[in-house]
Amino acid sequence: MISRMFLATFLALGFSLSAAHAQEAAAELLQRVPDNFGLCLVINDLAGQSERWTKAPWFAKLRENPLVRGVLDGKEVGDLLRLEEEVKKRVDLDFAFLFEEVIGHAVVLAYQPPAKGQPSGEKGLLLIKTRKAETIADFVEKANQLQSDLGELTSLEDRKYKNQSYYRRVHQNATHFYFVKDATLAISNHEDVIQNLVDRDAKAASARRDQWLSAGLTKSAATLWINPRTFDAEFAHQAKNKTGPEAAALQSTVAFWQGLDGLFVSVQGDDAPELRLTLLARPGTPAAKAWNTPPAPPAELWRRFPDNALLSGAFTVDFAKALKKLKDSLSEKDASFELLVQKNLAAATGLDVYREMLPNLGPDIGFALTLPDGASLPRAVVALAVQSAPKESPVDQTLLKAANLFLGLAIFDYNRKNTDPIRVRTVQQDGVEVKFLDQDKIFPSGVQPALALKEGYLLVGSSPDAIADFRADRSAAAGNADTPFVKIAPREWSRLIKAQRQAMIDHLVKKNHDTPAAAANVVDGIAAGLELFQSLNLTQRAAAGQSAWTLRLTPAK
Amino acid sequence: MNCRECQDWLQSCLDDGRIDVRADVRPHLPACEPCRRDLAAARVLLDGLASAPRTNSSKWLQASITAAVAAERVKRRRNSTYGWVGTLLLTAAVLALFFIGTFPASVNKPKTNAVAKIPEAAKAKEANVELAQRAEDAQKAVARLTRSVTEKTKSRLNVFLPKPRSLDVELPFFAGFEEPLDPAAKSLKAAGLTMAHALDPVAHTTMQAFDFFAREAPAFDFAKN
Repeated sequence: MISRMFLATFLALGFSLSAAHAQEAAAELLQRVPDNFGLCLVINDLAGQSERWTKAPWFAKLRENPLVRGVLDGKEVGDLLRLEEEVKKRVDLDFAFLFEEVIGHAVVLAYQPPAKGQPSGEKGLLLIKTRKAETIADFVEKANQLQSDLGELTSLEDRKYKNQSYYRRVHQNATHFYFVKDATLAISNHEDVIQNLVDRDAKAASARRDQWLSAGLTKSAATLWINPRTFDAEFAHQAKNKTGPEAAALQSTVAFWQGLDGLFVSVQGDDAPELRLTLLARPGTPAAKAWNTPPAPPAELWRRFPDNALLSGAFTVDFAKALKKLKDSLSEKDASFELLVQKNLAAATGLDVYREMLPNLGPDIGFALTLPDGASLPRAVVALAVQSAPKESPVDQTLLKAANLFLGLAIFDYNRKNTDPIRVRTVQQDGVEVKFLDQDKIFPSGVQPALALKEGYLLVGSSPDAIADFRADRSAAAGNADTPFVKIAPREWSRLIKAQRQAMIDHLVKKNHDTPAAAANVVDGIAAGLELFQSLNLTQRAAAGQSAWTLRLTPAK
Repeated sequence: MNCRECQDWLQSCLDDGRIDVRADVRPHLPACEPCRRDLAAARVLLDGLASAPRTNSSKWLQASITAAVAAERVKRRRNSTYGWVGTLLLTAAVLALFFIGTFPASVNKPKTNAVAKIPEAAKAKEANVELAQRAEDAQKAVARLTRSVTEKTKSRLNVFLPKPRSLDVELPFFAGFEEPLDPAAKSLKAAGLTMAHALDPVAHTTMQAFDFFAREAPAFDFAKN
């Protein structure tokens, strides 16, 4: 028992040390990239990441999914495997070795776009760091040998710069320069890039590496880093040629862009895949200030939408500020906007829009699409928080009356022109009056659009039942620092697909001309694939001058 | 000198309107038929242009060219909107390949220690043709795989996403809003489009970077021998 525990501890320690080494290696490669490169793709600990994912139960199940199986058993993958066999036969290299030993530790691809008017001036740099020095040297030797045998590599010329040997490699398609030092391979299409690498002090400051570390991306499998400064000139050029509202919009975009120090798009997640966009603001800019303030609490609406909603979204919006921003972005000639706000909305509600209405709207606004147990069709609800203020003419009641008035006029107009009338009915739900529309021919079965004012929210639902489902205890409040925006429950979608299985198969047969068996395979494959995942959530986290939007796919337990 | 450098030189000759074969190009040409063909074609083109009579273009022609350029600009602008979509698709394709690479590599194949055993050149020669063929098949396979997965996903989405059914409820009192709201709506739309297009260069450069590495990668590819 003790020996097993020792072995487990040893393996765990070895594994975490290996991951830490990979992160250090990726940071080291990033540090070596010359400062003027505009884009970098960092591939970090691919071997470790893929090992973790392939061990996950959802991954094994996904591999058995009929749709994925179909791709894996296809001719295309077969062709790749035949190539692998051939290369293995020739130089004893296979995909597993390439994947785990050559590119599995740390890889950086850096790109410098060409200057304007010089399309051939683009520069690229590929850096690979392996765990062992002999691995990369061996790989380069084999690649050179193989291409020499094939007659593609026409020249390999040894050169020297400050005591560092490097090579000019002339291939029939392109010329490259490279060197191998310790466990690192550096290849570029420009000789000066290779010489810059030799010149570059191993301890030189690197904003790129520091940003990657401070953005917390050391565990990411792949990260695309974009230097905003690469595009400043282009933005300035664009701004020159715009007038009116376009110029105002562009100026605000450019101002925001100029306040950014770096952008990262990354794929990560130890047990669950995550796609993340991270923005780093320059200290002192409005964005940095906004992202330094403590985050607003998540919308209260999340407690009213069930965790397993098919699709739900909730946001907190300062309507007064949003309308002011909208107004400022319009030119003076767009007086119609002011006309709508001041004249029409004020006339319809009897309220001063800026003074009385907007301060009492929101901040919560959201929607949810749910699939109740036993139901085959989803229910939908849209909610807007409204206050019962000011006392003399509460905004909530005023808005409900205005909505009822518009609805009545629309129904009146429809019924005037059609023989089958839409009827407005009323139902009481625990003291809440719910008005809904009843008409079998234009609304699908189970759909009866409903309107109500409930617990401080103006609600529009797909049926009175959707309004009844809206209550405060549907899920626990979010406990972490991430603010959720949109949530999707793939397992619920799987349930919906299963409930609608035959209809979907018929639809595929009719529209796609699939055979019933093939259509059933597709529908079942999608349902089985979705069942593996509990949630797909889009969240945002802002702290320390950074803002990160994360799309996280959580496997089912 | 390789084909790309030769092509660059030929392009610069076409830009200048005259062809002087440089000393460093001369050794490449006898060994490379495609480059020789391109050089011959370039000569024919420049000779043809030199012998063509000079004419003053009509106002109609100028107007139609201007209109065509403007239409192309609109088309490109629209296409560039899809740049982000393209980037996402490319990312999806890379991830798909990552997964596909992971499955067979980690599941179906035993791990091996790479020991350099370079076959003798004489023996290798025979196998080269087959290897090059395999590599070409593999390249095509990757392209086919990416295309078929993308197209299938697109077609399934098209089938499953029904177009919203109109309720055919007219709201006569809203019709009056259309006119006064029109300028503001147009301005907002223009502002929104401008903000979206402002990011086009970022998407474009990202795609350019992917293209660059895809183009440079054949230096490690043995398919075209």
